Amino acid sequence: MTRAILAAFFLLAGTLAAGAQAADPALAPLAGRTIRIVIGGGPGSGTDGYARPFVETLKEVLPDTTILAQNVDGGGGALAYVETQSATGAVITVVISHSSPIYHQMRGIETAAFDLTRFHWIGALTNNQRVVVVRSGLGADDYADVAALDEEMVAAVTSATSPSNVETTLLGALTDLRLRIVVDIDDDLRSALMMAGDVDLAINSFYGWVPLIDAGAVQPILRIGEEGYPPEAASLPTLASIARPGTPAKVIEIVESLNKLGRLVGAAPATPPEIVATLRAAFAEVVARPDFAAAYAARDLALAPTDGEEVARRIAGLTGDPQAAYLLNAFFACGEAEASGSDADCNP
Amino acid sequence: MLEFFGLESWSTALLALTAGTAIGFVVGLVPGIGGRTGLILCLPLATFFPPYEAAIFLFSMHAVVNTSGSIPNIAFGIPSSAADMATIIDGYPLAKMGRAGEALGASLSASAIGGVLGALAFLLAIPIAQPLVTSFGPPEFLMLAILGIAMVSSLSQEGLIPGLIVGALGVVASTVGVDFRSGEARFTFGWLELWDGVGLPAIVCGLFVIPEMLALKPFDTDSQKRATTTSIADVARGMLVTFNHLRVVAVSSWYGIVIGFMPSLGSSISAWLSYGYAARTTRTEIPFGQGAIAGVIAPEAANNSKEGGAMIPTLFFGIPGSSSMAIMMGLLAFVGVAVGPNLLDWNRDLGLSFSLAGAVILSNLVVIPMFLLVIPTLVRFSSIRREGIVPFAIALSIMAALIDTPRIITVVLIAIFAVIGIGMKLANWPRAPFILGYVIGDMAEASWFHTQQIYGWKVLQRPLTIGIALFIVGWLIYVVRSRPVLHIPGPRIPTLATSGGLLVGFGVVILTAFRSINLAGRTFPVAVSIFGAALCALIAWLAFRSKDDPPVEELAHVWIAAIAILAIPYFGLTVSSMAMAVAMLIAGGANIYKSILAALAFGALQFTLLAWLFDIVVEREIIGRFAWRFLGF
Repeated sequence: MTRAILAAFFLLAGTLAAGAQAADPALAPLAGRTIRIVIGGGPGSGTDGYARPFVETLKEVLPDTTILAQNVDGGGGALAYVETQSATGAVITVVISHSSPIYHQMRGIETAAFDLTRFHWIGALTNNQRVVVVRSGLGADDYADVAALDEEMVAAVTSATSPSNVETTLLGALTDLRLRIVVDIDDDLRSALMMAGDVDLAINSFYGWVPLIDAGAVQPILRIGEEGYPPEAASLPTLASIARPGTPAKVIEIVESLNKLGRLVGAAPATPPEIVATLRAAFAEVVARPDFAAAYAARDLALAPTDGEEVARRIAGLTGDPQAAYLLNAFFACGEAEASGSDADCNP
Repeated sequence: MLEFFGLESWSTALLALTAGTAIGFVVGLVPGIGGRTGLILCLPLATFFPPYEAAIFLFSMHAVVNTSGSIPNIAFGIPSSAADMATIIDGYPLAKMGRAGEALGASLSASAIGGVLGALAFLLAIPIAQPLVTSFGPPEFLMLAILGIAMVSSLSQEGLIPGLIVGALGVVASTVGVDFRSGEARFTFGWLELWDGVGLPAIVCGLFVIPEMLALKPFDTDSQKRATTTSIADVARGMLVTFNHLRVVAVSSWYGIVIGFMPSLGSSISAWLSYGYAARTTRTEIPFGQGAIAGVIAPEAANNSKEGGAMIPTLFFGIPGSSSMAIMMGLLAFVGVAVGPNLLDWNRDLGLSFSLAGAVILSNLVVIPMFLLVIPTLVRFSSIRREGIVPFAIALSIMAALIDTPRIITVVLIAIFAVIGIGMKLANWPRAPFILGYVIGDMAEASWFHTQQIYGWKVLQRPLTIGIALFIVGWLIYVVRSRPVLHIPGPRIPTLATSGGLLVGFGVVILTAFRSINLAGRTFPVAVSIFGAALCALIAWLAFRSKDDPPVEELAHVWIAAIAILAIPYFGLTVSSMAMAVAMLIAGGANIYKSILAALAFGALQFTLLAWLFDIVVEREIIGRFAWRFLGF
């Protein structure tokens, strides 16, 4: 009886909502539906910061759709993907999370209990804007100065499974920098150790470095990718421009793709195609809204959206291409060997 | 003047300060919210103010959350964090003696003094901010971790060996999850949810709250009467008592400030180090662990002073000194305040540094009348018949754990730790060392690794490291000489059962480590487990031979609590909580209709909090699997 009453209520609400949303036929399939947005991070986390304005603006774009947000933290973002992959009910489930799980899947790490190629990609909200910085006391003003240093540099990364470890290890494999990589140093400790002169080099998003750059404690020397950087970082050389001669173009392409895909938005594998198309249309409308851009600007967040088809193409090229995973892992292994002092030849 | 401070008007700044303090006070009262969530919840309100006033609002709010947070800790024994447990150890026994007003007064003045000292330290740090932040690194963290382990003895009034076993268990628990150094999962047994470790609120709920609540020891009538009549005079007396312990306040505040400005160190460490300091240096009428007032003063002073310490790296260099400060940085950016060295510059935003320090100082003072206003009423609730509080206290504690991690693993952990906690309670073993072991375990392992990797033998050139090391050696010599070591604190059967159970547990850890973890990842947990297992065997042997056998403490409603916890995954938190409340109240002799009414009122309040305040209704463990399926998720 209760179920019948509820069904009738939802039917009525759905009918009313469908009528109200008829004005925007592209979004009509979502009228009266419920969307559960799984945010791959705890409340107040970086991913939450990117996701919440998106959720609020999506509510405005889809006024007749019930939108519920759920924080699912854990496993370096993996848990949110696992949760979304298994969603099969009538509720539409969408995940917003960072791109670490792409690395996990490519490297075959245990947490990758999902397959990103099965997701329906709706878009990416930003790119990762990764830059390499060195501590100011090192006496180096630019990449050329750093490369000319004789001494081995201490590079700090957050964990063995983190993107920063992959990027830093590849940096060692693709360039002439001599790095000793120390893992398990979180962002805050790393900054303090750079100020103290105990850590020389690290990689993070450009915005993450701004206070320390302003304090004169660190100096940016390199950007990982080509696109989507703020004007202050636009003059930095790219990884592609300083990589050792003979580095396969595919490796640079992998690193740049990983840099470009930040804060992914994807629908569960069970989502019907017409709903995916509608979600992509809604995503395009959200990111085009000036109030959404203003909300990101107010939070010091970089808005650099990529549409769903492009994201799907890049993820298929990364996680669905065995050669990409092979190259990443081969150069990573070589970089690890170099960092541990072996005389490795990074040209697998 | 206004221009220097960057304010639009004094009246707006005052409004921001008062509103922030009032809201922070309320936020602290609700178990499970805490400073971090409180900040996120308050962001929409902050946007009503101009940027600098919004910053004042946020800092005022955050500065007093710990102050009012001591009320549920002391009056009802409900913690939300590891730091809260340090206050509860002596605060709750005081409340049970009918001295809640005095304990709360002491906590209030200690918090206020700690908060003010922290803010003053922040101001004094302006000329020396950079050397201050960079003077502590992994070698000093390692020494502090070892100092913390040495403090276990201070928390083990009931017996040194049980204290060391429980501390070892806490250290082993801290190794659950991904080993960041190797990328390997340790002791996760296939649960992805354990990759980030064991949630502390679940541990606190299982290990402390449930055993305490189920230990049926009704308040004596006199205590109940005294608690009912707690007045502002009682609170004022408690406030004055703090001034008899100014040394404890000063040293604890110092711990808070120092730990606060060390990035990546858990803030609860300061509360526990302070508690350990007070326990080993203060002579009291009532022993520590049973209601020593200095045991309330120390962690509260450290808790509030750490905020001033954490502001130093956060505001001057954009390096968050604590997890709350990481969120604060994001919120400040949102309201239009840029942090960084501009706050050290006379020509730029130095005035804001003074404004924020002033806000922290004033909010710690403004909160005093608010506290005094509500305490007599709130404390009255603590004198309600114990049977009337138990189900709601347990339900609130489970709610706090599920808010932290709304996954089935939380329910499983609560159940496991409740069994361990009940065993320790019956064996009369100290449980506080577990929290200390847990909060310093990861720090010890990581700092050891970093010290080796970055510094090597150069660590011997760091005078601060050597200084702390010498202090630890002296302290250990003192402990070994001054304490009886081979002492069994409780009855034989629970001691044998608990030590036997933990011996098996340590054995499982060792076997699992050798089967599935590489050498680098298993060395630390295996070494600690071997130590714990050896002590378990020793104490089991001592218990077996012991002639003393004191009576076993009685517990009540164990089965009701067990069934309610196991029902959560299926029926959800609210339904299970209400059912538990009805069952316990009726079993305790209450009227059936009143019991149902009370449970319904609690359920409505709990669901409203979860839905509107925490926004986490869309969770299987909150609404239950049956409802989850029914609603089409």
